[in-house]
Parts: sequence; C-alpha cells; structure tokens
Amino acid sequence: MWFHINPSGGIPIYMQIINQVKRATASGLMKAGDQMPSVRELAIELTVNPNTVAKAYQELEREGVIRTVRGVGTFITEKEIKIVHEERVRALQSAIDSALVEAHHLGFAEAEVRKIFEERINDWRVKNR
Amino acid sequence: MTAEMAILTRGLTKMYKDILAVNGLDLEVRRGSIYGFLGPNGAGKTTTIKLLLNLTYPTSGIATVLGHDAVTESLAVRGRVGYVAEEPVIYEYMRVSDLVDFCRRTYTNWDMAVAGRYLDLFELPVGKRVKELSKGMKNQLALSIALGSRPELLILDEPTGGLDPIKTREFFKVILEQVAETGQTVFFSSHRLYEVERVADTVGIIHKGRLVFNKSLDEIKSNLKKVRVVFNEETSPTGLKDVPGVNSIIRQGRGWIIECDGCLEEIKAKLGEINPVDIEVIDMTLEDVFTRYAGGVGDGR
Amino acid sequence: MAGKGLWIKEIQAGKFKFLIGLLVFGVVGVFIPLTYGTIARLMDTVPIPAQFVEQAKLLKDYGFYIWSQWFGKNLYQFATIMAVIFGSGIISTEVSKKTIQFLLAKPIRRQEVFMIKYVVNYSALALVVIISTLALYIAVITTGHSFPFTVIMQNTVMALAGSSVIFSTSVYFSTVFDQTLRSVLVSLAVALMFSIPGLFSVVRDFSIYYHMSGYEIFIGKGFPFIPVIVMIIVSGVLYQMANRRFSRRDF
Repeated sequence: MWFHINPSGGIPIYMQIINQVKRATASGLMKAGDQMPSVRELAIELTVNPNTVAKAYQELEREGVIRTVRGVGTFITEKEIKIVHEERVRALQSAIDSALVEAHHLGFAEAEVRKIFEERINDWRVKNR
Repeated sequence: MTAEMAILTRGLTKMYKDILAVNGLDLEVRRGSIYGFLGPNGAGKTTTIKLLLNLTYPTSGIATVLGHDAVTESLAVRGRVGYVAEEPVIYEYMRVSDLVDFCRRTYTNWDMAVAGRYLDLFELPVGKRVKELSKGMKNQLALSIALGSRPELLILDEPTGGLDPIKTREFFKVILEQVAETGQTVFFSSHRLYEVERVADTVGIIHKGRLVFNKSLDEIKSNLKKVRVVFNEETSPTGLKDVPGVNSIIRQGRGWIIECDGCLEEIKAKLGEINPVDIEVIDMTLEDVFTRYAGGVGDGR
Repeated sequence: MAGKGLWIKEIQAGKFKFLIGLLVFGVVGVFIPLTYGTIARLMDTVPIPAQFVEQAKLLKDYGFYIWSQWFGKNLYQFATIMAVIFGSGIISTEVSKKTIQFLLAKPIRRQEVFMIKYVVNYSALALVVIISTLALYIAVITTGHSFPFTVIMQNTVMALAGSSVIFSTSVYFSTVFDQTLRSVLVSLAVALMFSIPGLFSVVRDFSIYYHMSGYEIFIGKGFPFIPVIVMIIVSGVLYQMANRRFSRRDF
C-alpha cells in the first residue's frame, strides 16, 4: 500500500496512519467501499507494532471513517457524518488557527494569506471533480 | 493463570564481586506489549535477561515472569518463554534437524508447523550443521526454534546484531506476525533505536543497573518536546523551571532549549508573555531521549 | 519428559568418544589372550636375566597372565584415562563454548541436566569396560583356554567402582573450571595422586588402583565389599558436590 510511516518523527505512528487514511479519503485516493488491509496485514507490511495499527483503526472507526464487518473485512465508509457539528467546527477552526500561526511566523500579510487560501480552495475543487 | 504483567521486578539487584550490574531494578512489562529495553553497553541489559531466565541468581529483590517467581518457579517460566540470546551459540556439531528434534522433545507446547514455517521462510538448510551457517542464519534459526515452542513471552537480547537491514526487517516482520496471531508479549533489548521506534509500544532505558526511563512511545512522541527560544535582550526563561513537566532549561548559543514533558502548550503561552524573538518546537527523537537519560546524565537545571 | 531430548543429544555427542574408547579397549582386550602363546614361547626361547626369572614363571601361568595384563595393568590405566576424558568436560566444555546458556534456558531442571550428563557419560565408560572385558573373555574361550567367569565379573565390578571415583572427580572439576583443558589436567593430577597410597604397603588399602586391579579377588581373598562401598560412597559425595556447584552457579 501507499502508506508512508516515519517512526522517528514527532508524530505517533498511529496518528500518522490516521492522518494518511483521512487524507486518502479526502483526496479521493480511497473511496467509500474500498477495503483496508487487516490490522495484521498492515502491521506486517509497514513493519510496525500491531497494537499501533489497532489503535489507529479503533480511532478511525470511532470517527466513522472506516467500518469493520466481522468475518469480511474493514472498509472505508460512505461519507457519513457521525460527529456533532460543533465538534467538527472546532476541529476545522483548530486546523485553520495552526495555519494562521504558521503564516504569521512566515511573515505574510493578511491579504496575501487570503489570496493563497482562495488558490488552495480552487485547486481542491478541481482535483475533486 | 493470566497475570497482568508479563514481567515484573521489584528491587532486583545483582552484584558481581564488587560490580553492581543490576541495581534495584523496577521493571513492568504488560502482557501483549512489545517492550524495547534500551541502555548503553554494560548497563545491565543482558544481566537482567539472565536474571529473568534464572541463568543467573539475583543478589536481592524479586522478579516474576508470567506470574511465576523467576527463581523458585524457573522451570515453569522457561517452559513458557522463548529466548534468543545475543549472538546465539548453539551446538555447532548438530544438524539443524537434530536441533529441531532436540527442541521438539524438550517443549511440551512445541508446534512443528510454526517452526517449519519459519525455517522455510528463512530458507535454512535443514541438513546442514550449525557450524556451517552464517551468523545471520544462526539468529534466524534461534528465532525459528524460539517461536516453535509457542511462547507467551519472547525475550530477545540484541536479536538483530549481525543482520543486514533487509534481514532485520524480515526478522521483525516474523515477530510482528506472531504477535498479531498469538498476542504474545515481546521483550527485546536493542541498540538500534530506529527499529525500536518502529515496533515497540513501550520503551524502558536502563542505566548503571537502574531503570531511568519508562514510557510508551506514543507518550514520548506526543509529550516530550523541546522548545528553542531566542530573546532580544537579556531575558532569560529560567524562571519557568518550576512549571511542572519542565525537565531542563539549557542555554544554547544565543538561545535556550527548554525540555517539556506534557507541558508544551503552557510553556509556549508563558514564553509568549515575555516577548521572544523566535520560538521553535522540536520533536524529541528516541535518540534524544536515550542520550539524555543514558549518556552523561547532566541536565541544565 | 522434558529431559528426553537431552538424553538423545548427550548420547549423540558422546558417540565418537565411545566408539574410539571401545575400539582401543576392545583391541587390547582381545590382543591379550591372543598373544599369550607368543609370550609363552618367548619365555621359553629367550634367555631371561636372573632378576626376571620369577616374574617370567608367573607370566607363563595363563591365569596370572590374563589377570595381570588386563585387570592388573591395561584396564585400570585406560579406564582411568577414559574416566578423565569422559568426565572432565561434561560441564566445562559447554561453558567454554558458551552453549550452556542455550541449554539452561530450556525447561529442564539443572539437576536433571546434570544427572543426564553424568549418567550418559558414565554409562559410556561402563559399557566400554564391560564390553571390552567380555571381548577378552570370548577371546580366552575361543583360544581354548579358561578363566573363571566369577573372577571376571567381580573384577569388572571393581574396575567400575574405581573408575566411577575417577569419573566423579573429573566431573567435579568440570564444574569448577570453565576450560576443559584445565579440568583435564587437574583431574589427571588428582588421579595420579590417588596412586600414592599404592606405593606403600601400609596404606595400600587406600589405593583405588589397587582395588581396581582386583588383586585380592584374584588370589582368592574374597570380594572386598568394604572398599567397593567406600568407593561408591565417595563417588556419591563427589556427585552431590558437583551437582550443587552446578545448580547454584551463575552463568
């Protein structure tokens, strides 16, 4: 599979897996109904601890990104929104805040930030058509 | 009997003549975890393992393995534990098949299918004598027979010394496969931090016979951070050393490095109040952790 | 039983030593009766110096010849050397080769490990003694002579008892030293020391070799039960001492 794990980085491996699955579903690399490898398979393929993979899967399942059907496998879910709206707003605000702090540190003015933001939304729209 | 801890030691001590090899070790390894046991050379890693297997007798303290006392119930321990020594020395004159037979007759839980699976995977020549095998093949052989006894706990002492990166990867894949299939606990000592970061879920560092560090890898990555901060004037952040979680504040050139354990946000906020020129968050790698706790343990408090 | 694998391993490990010992002992054992004729003829044809005349007369006596050459000399000497070879490496070789950790990490009690090694190696020694003595007896019979089988049996017991003391001593030293060479040298030195009492007729009874030769049986003084019991007890004590050292040691 296309996962890439960096064990030495500052992000726990299970978080990296979660982020990459989410990113894949957001970008269309993985679509609803696609089958994920089993915990065991992924752990062996990435040469990481099965407990770590299990933790990632648990969290992904909790967030409704994937679903395990006993005896069949683990699949990407339909874009069901399981999490409450307020929580989703907070998550997005947090992500945007991080980006704004970064922008500030990089020395961008507000107008430039807006411009670049618009460009990114446009790119995104094109890719997901 | 399912004990919650695969390995539990309290005040475990071993004195050789006048050298304290293990000094009041308090180790806890949960069942089902993969525990990376780190430490510089001579820190007591191998001695600890020998104490767990009763190859060596403790001077004082207690060690229990899978619920059994390591000394008085050693026989039970050894029946449920698989062991791969550093540079495993196996009877040179024996053929691989003889060795397998020896182990088969010795362990009640022996599963020939498992041993055979790995002998095949590693392409170990069953008819050859052990002395004809390369160093790496001996490691692979030792692992295959250790797994063949279906152990609930696998103890490995520097298991991948002498294996090239590809063989090391293969070695760990085999272990992970077994862990996923059987839920066995793995306790391994290693120098190779890169490997440990991949496969271990918990890390313990032993230094001069004592456990100086014990955390899960997730905790390490999430909580242990370094903050590099630079000020314009003679401002100094040393006042922050009383913030709980701050491990050290050290001057570095024109800046300061603050080591935080779970207090990153608080430190960032407090630093923000004293007008820093620049703040940078640096992740602590396992190597950083190792150096801090096991190499010249001097902090800048 | 967990030890089963170890029995087989020890037997396989000692196969070579056993066969060589059997060959050497067997050849000598068969050689002795076969050469009687030649020796006897030699005694008749070659002029014998005055001081050896008595001895020569004795040697011509078939019984004396057989006893003195086998039990009285070759057997006890070879058996002693063999006992040292079989015994002084049983632990120290594994320690110096570092295979001891591999073995002791297995689910077999240390005392059982020790017992198995002791029994297998002593049995090999005993079998060599017994089989070669039988080969000697068969050679006696097939060359048309005779030698009382009861003497053969009793003398064999003496040889086994005596060599068990040497063997146990060697085994003890194999738990003391980590190098087999040292263990062999010390065991040989001690075995040599054991021969000192034999030099003085006053303390001859304390000589293992004197008893191993079975002289008293041969001359009809009856079976020396007490020395045999003492030798077995000494072996037992040495066994226990070695066993305890091995069981308590750090590896």
